[in-house]
Amino acid sequence: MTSTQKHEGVWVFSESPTVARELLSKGRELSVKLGTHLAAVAFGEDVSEMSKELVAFGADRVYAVQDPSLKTFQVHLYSNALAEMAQTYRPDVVLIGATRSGLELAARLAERLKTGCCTECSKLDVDPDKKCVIVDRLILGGNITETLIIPSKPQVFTLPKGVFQPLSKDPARTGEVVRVQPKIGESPVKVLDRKPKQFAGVRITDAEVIVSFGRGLKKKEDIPIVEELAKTVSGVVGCSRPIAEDLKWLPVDQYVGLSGQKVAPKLYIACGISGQIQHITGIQNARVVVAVNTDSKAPIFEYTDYGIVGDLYKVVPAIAEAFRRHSSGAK
Amino acid sequence: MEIIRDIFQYVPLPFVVAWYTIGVIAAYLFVTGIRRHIRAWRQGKPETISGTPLSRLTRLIYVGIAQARILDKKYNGTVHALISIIGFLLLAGMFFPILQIIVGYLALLFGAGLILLEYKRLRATGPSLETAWEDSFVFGVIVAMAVSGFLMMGVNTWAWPSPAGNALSPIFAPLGPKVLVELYPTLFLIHSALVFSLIAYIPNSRLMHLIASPLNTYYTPITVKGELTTPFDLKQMMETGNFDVKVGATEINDFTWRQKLGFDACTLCVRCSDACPAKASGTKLSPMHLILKLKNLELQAPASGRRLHGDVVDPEELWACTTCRACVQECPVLIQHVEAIYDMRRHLMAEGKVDKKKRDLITFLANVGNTYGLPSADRMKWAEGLDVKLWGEEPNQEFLYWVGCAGSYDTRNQMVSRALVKIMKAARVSFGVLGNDERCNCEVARRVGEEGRFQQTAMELNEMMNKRGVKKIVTQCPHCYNTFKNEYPRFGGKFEVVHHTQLIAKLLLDGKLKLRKDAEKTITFHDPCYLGRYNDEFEAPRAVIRALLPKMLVELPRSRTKSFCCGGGGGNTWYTVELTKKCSVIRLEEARQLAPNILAAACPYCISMFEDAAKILGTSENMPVKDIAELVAEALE
Amino acid sequence: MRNMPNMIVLAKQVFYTQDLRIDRTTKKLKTEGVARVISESDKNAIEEAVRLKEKHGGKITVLTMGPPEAKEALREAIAMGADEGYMLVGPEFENSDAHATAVSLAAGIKKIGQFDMILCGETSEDQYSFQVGPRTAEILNLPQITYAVKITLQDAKVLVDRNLEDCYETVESKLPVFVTVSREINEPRLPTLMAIMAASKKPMTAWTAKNIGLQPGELGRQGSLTEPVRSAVATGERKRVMMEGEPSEAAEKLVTTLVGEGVVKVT
Repeated sequence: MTSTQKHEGVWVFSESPTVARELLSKGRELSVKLGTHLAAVAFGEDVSEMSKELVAFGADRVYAVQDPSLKTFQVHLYSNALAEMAQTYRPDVVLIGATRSGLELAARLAERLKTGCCTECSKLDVDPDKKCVIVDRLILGGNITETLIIPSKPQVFTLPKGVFQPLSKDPARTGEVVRVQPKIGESPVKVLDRKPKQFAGVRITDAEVIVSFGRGLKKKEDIPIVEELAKTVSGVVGCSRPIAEDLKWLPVDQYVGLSGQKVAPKLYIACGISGQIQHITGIQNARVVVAVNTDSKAPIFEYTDYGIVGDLYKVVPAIAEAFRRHSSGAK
Repeated sequence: MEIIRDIFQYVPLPFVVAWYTIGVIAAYLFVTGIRRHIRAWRQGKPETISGTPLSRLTRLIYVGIAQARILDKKYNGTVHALISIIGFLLLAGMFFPILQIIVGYLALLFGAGLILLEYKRLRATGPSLETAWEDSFVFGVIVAMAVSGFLMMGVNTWAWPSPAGNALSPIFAPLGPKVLVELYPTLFLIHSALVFSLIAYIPNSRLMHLIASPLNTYYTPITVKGELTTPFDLKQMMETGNFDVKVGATEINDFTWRQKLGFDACTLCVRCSDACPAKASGTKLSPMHLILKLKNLELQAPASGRRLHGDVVDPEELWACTTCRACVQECPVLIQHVEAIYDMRRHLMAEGKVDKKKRDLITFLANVGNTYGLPSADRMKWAEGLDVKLWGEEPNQEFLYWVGCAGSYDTRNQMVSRALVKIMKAARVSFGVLGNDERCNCEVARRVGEEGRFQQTAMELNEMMNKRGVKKIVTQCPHCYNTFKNEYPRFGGKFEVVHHTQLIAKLLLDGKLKLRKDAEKTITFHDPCYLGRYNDEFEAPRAVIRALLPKMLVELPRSRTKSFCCGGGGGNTWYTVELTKKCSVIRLEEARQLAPNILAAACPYCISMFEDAAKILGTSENMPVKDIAELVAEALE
Repeated sequence: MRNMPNMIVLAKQVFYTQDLRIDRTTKKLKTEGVARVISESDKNAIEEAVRLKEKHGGKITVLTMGPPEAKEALREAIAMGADEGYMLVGPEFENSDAHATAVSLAAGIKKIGQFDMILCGETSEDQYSFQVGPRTAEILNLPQITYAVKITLQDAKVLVDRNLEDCYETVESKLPVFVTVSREINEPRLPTLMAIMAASKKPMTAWTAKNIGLQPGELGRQGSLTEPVRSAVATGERKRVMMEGEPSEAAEKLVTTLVGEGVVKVT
């Protein structure tokens, strides 16, 4: 999209209300720096409540589309609507929540509008000279940080969820709700069924946080200490090979290592694991590795970001306690 | 004296006719039976047997006839020798009076052998073989044959003079000459009939080994022990562009005729399975049963299209093999179990029918050049702070020190690498490492059946090392040692290869190392399969240990060629098979019985396996596992 | 039952990301000696196409865009079971962002001709942008189905199970369709080296921009819609920071750090 006409406004969209709120907080920051307004897009069968919420969480304006076909996310319908709206109202920036649906929407939308899009941005800011958004992305296995701008309009970005804290809700806030009726069209892809996932058994390879233990744990009966920590961070319990294969305290698909599961969580906490090479190869792609071990010379500390030398029977409960304190503090 | 005896002396015509009739029937059954076996063998693929006929003939005499390997077990071996060799001599003695003098005594020895055998059978422990009833029956026939023979000799001491006969004849004498004259032909016929029945039965029973086993000792190729067979020539295929080769064995006739002869030669002696560590740890593999399955298959279906994998052989059996070669070592008739297993593994790999762990292993080797999947750039991390020179960085470097994947990446084995560096520096050995240019020599890829990857790596590494003037290699790992020494030459490698224990032994011999002797500790040494059984190197590590502790080396019950594998070879370190008790635990328990202060090893797989087992058994404190290099490095003055 | 589907698989050759390192001395990204491999989820796409071909017959064409080394990727794909390969190669394609890549691939696909399904991985692991698939589908005006974990072909339509964060969705679409796959969809087979070498004999064609009817302005940096400003090395190595003190002290320091870095979000 060429920028012959003026583009104004930072738009925020996510099919998930929680994520939308987070986006509003970052969107507010950008809109202030760009000297423009902040708008949110609401799609749904009944958007009145949604629109009020979005205003309460910081939107100056809400573009609301009410249509039964928009009840649940469908990329073709949502991209049709959003594209037409973007062409009509000419936003400067569009922020989309990087849920899986958000990612496919952002890409399709950006191509429809013949504009650029940056996904999985680790940093967003406004360039004071260029008066545009400038972002950082990690590429090539996290080795390189790329800094990019998007010359075309609108500038489309996807933001990761769970990173930005929403602004506090202010029911007294006022904002303009604009009802629009873009052409939604038909979706060539029909949804036949939707099965909600049960979270009881999160696969260790999918887990974002893993709390793992090894032979430092003396008895099977002590496993609840580790489970307790895992619970405070919504994590999954894992273990090293001897625990599963030799002692059989946990099933074999829960052990991490060369001949077991290879995991790439955001956070991996290794308790009482010495750090033999076979285990390390299973965790080398974890974003942050923490280890607790009584032996300061344990090989695991070579492969950790943060380590605590100490008795796991004391340290692990202490970490759990610290997380609990932070969690109640955040509220 | 006549050359050939008239065996029908004292035998009236009807008996002679009967003798010939039975004889002809027996001969017919024997010949058709043997032909059936030969037909089965010949349906295998062609093979040119390597090794000169003379050397193989010598081996036939030594192993096949003199039964050198069978005598490995004193009692059983002696009994078998008595029964078999003497049995044949007795058969010959029946026709050649020149042997007459000793035949009588031989007969006694034969009888003694049978008695000793029965004694052992009565005292046997453990589960019976599946063929137990048939074996007892055959044994019964042999005993009957012996008894009838003795009786025959007792009745007619003129035709068959012998001490036994002389001893027995007084029993028969009272019957009077007329009865004896009538009794003798009957006994003669019975005895002959029993002999004939055994002969006729040979092709259908384990007695087939009488024919197949000596043949196998002649036809088994003479090869380098540590070198695998080469199923195809990748270089040639790349040049001609013809990749149309069937890799591995999917059905029985994918094996060569010589291999099929080998399967048929199995005597069911169980020595291979008794020695097999995979069997001892409770996996599905039992070498003898694997061979028997193949033997039965080849005899049942001459032109079989029946698939081996899944139908006859369980892939788990193949993967459980640690390639330790204990089975081949023990086999008295030179059957090559491990070779057959490799052939069957190759097929599974070619079809991609391998589990994720094996696929990951190959992917790691392809992508980062090490078995762990760790970054290739970290290969020299072990040497941080050690001032290890790269190959070519200094003039006149004598040895290329091939660190290996474990020595480079495994934190436990990095300690061994550092110890070895310390030793070489102390002895002023000039060496260099390839550093980040070193990547796995893919020995393990070959062992799990990815022959192409192995050959390509071998050609590339050989070219690189030859170009860079590498002449001598010292390896930390017996698997690397074996592959460079015995397998890489075929693909262009021209190096002199030593294992680190051999190097250290030589340095000690040349007085280049001064050691403090620590006489207080007892030490026992676990012979690594790829150093000991594969390459016959038992003395170098022991020489080093004796230099450290002159009097305190205690031998494990199963040592040297009988060493019990740690369970890490053949790729088993990188995947799991179902088992009841790990080899390493079994071996550690065996070592624990001796209560040594130290369990010494010389292979990264062994150390890795034993460290795991030590954690399970709780012996890390009182019986630590140490590499020979670590012990020497600690004792350097 | 629809037989013989024509499938096009888009595969990208990337550096084996786990082996990429920052060189300590030059402080630059070290790519020398790093293996080039097919991007993981693209491999899943090839595998899925091969499985569909095993079931329904048909033909698999692999299309890639990259440096000359990308030919290895085509060989590997063919060794897995694809029938032929095309590569878009030339300096004009270099420095393409997601949009320019999609434009090039779409043009390549148009030249290949008739197809029933296009498959590719959900994202490449070197860029991790998740864009090329949907963009290519948009240019070709095809229905898109992303994050497939199961694909079933039925007559003239396809049924796909999709893996979303909080649910599994089953969708249906007529053919032709564009599908991106997630890694859970299958375990790709491992062709032996010999099979990969043997694949050299199958048809592989290289195309330039001219071959596929594109102008220089549509490709590479010129055709991109995002503009790189700079690149910098990220730290990469593990921090190896030790938290000192009594258990409660050390634990507090640790948790404060983790929450502050945004590694963990407390509920």
